[in-house]
Amino acid sequence: MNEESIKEQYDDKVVKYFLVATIVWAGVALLLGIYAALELASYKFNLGLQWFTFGRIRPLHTNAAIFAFAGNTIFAGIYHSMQRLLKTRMWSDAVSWFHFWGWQLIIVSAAITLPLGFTQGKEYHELEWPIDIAIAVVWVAFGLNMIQTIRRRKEPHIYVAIWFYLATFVTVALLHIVNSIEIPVGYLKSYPVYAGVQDALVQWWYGHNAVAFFLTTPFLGLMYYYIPKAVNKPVYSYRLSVVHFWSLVFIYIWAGPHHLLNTALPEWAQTLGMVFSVMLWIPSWGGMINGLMTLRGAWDKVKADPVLKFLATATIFYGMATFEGPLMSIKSVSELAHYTDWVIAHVHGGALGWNGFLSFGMIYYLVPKLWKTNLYSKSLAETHFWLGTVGIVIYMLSMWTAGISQGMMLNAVDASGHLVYPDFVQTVTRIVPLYWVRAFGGVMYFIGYLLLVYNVIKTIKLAPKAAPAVAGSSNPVLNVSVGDLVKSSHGEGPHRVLEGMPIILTVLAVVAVLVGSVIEIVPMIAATDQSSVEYANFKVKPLTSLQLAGRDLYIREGCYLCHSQMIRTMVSDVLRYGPANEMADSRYDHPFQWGSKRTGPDLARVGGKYPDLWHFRHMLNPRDIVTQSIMPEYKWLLEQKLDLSSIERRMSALQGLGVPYTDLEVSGSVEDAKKEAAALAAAVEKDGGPQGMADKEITALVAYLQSLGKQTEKK
Amino acid sequence: MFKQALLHYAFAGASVIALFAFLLVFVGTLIWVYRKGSVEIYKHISDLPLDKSQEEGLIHE
Repeated sequence: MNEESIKEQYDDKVVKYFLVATIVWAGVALLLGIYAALELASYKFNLGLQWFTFGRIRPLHTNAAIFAFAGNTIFAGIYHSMQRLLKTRMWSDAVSWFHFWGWQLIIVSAAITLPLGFTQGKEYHELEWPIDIAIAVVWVAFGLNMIQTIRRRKEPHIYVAIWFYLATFVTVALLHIVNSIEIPVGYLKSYPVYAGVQDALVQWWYGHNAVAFFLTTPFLGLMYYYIPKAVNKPVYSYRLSVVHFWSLVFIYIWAGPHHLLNTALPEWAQTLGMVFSVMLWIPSWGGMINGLMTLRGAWDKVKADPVLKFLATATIFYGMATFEGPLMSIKSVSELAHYTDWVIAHVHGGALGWNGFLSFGMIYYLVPKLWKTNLYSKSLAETHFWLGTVGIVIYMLSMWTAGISQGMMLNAVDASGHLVYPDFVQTVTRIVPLYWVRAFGGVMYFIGYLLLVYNVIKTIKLAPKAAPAVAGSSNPVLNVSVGDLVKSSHGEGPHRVLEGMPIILTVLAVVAVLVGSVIEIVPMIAATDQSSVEYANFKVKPLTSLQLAGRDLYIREGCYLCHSQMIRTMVSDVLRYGPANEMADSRYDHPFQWGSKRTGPDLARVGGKYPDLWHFRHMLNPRDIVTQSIMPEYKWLLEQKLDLSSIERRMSALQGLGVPYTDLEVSGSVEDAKKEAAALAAAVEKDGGPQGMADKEITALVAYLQSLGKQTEKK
Repeated sequence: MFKQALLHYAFAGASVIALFAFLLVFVGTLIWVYRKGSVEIYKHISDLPLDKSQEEGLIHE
């Protein structure tokens, strides 16, 4: 056999760029988080400006944390580790750079559109349809680069980290495509094809698996590479990693319904979500054990090395979050936890502890390596670690306390069957001090991050000016003989097929995620409204054109982030808000508005509870109505003119999606909206309210709020 | 009728089928990883991240 040597350099330039992007966006995400936290501690931080309200800032924070910070971490680590594990340079420099700049452009477009109120109103999927298309294009480029790199690999075996990367790629593609099936009704406005309960299931299949396959699997891949690298020991059990991978990928996809327990989601779906979420504890801890046991015999190194401290602690937080999550997925626990800050505590233990700390550990490991120097200050990194850890603990303790306190207060029913705390605001005033504590925890975490920035800048400044280009020395020149590689391959046959061929591996991973997806989603989606018994027992009126315009304002302002519209099947919910919601109540809601947090009360049956003037005054200044309210002011809704120019197009699109508007209602939508607005505004004026509101946004929003709970009639 | 059946999909069989499918996957994976010859293969693969030649660019012939 002719032997040839391959000379190739790894593309570490794109790794450096992704790493710098990670650090920059981490700062943005953390600052936005602190700001959002302060807005909840004091409404004054909303500044009375629409672009700064919690409803607009919170999606900016979550997108920055997940897609900007965690996203760039993933890409930095994948590009760095893959090349070395496969002994080849990335397939295409052009595609690498397209991926890098495309991703940053997507982040910038999010930063511009979200504060302006352009949102789909679905958590972690807020970005409107043109950006959804851009995400799909860039994601395909990333996958193509990855798969082609695997195909041109010089190492025949595919290390388990790469399996996690591949599973991430295909599953995120599937999640994104399915949850992005939407009808554009404007340049930056769309409606999902799903409505009500179907949209709820698709959204939380997406939402939970965004956590699974964007925040967990790629980070597990990074864990399987960087912990062994940092401690210079192989993973504790490769067998365990294989079992871990397949169990995790199969089970995770079912967990979505645990976000919808005790709601109008059919019981069978809730049960599947709960059972598989509890089962998920085991493979998750398999991964955690594998990561931590890799450090056996090297705990003295963990004591001395901040990189290992971050990586080990990240793995421990992963374990905590993946025990807590299954616990919260039990229906009776969810009765207490759902809609409360306990969920926030859980999320941030994972995000700050698992994702954040793993990112920081990777950064501290990679920067000296890539810039060919030593870390500027180990003690600064140690200080960062301790500040960050204490910050997370303060965050979680405050939010656990707030969540459990509020949950218990809201659920408390006395012996005579009455609510012990009938006013929602009673629970808010109890926990606001904890919002200050949480903000303090976030500030500590951020100060730790600032130490990282300083340390990284000083480290890069220590880098040698010009890298020597001598083969075999400090430049990562790969010089491998093909002949030796062929000799090094083990186990042809079944091993080659099941573990050494990326396409087969990817196909099997897709099958694994499709099983859960199909069994949970197809029955929900395939049945139409007309054939459903649940819908047949109810007559549901669609929103009028004015109410629809109002609902789109509700979504724009992010009201769904603090107010749910789903009264659960629990005594305390029914006593507080009225009869539990049925599937029919949200039959025509594109997108559904069930919500996932009650910073304020549920609004599902608020229609008719208060007069119109109450709503006008409440939106202008919530504290005129409820003194201790933490809700922002929405003055601009009384100043800005209602834009009805696209309402006919919106109703037409909804009509196409099955909402029973007549052609007359669609063609007369503008006139009908103006008539309804004029009547509503005149009535408010007569009651002593503000004048000249007929053409203002507030009128549409109030019309919508007054419709809630009034659209459904039992036959 | 098919669509009605799909919406009334409230049968315990769905969970049982799902759990059985998972059991097959899990047991199958366990059998697979303990197959004959896997020790040597997995020892080699688990050493891949530690291959110093890839990190430091040593000439490998």
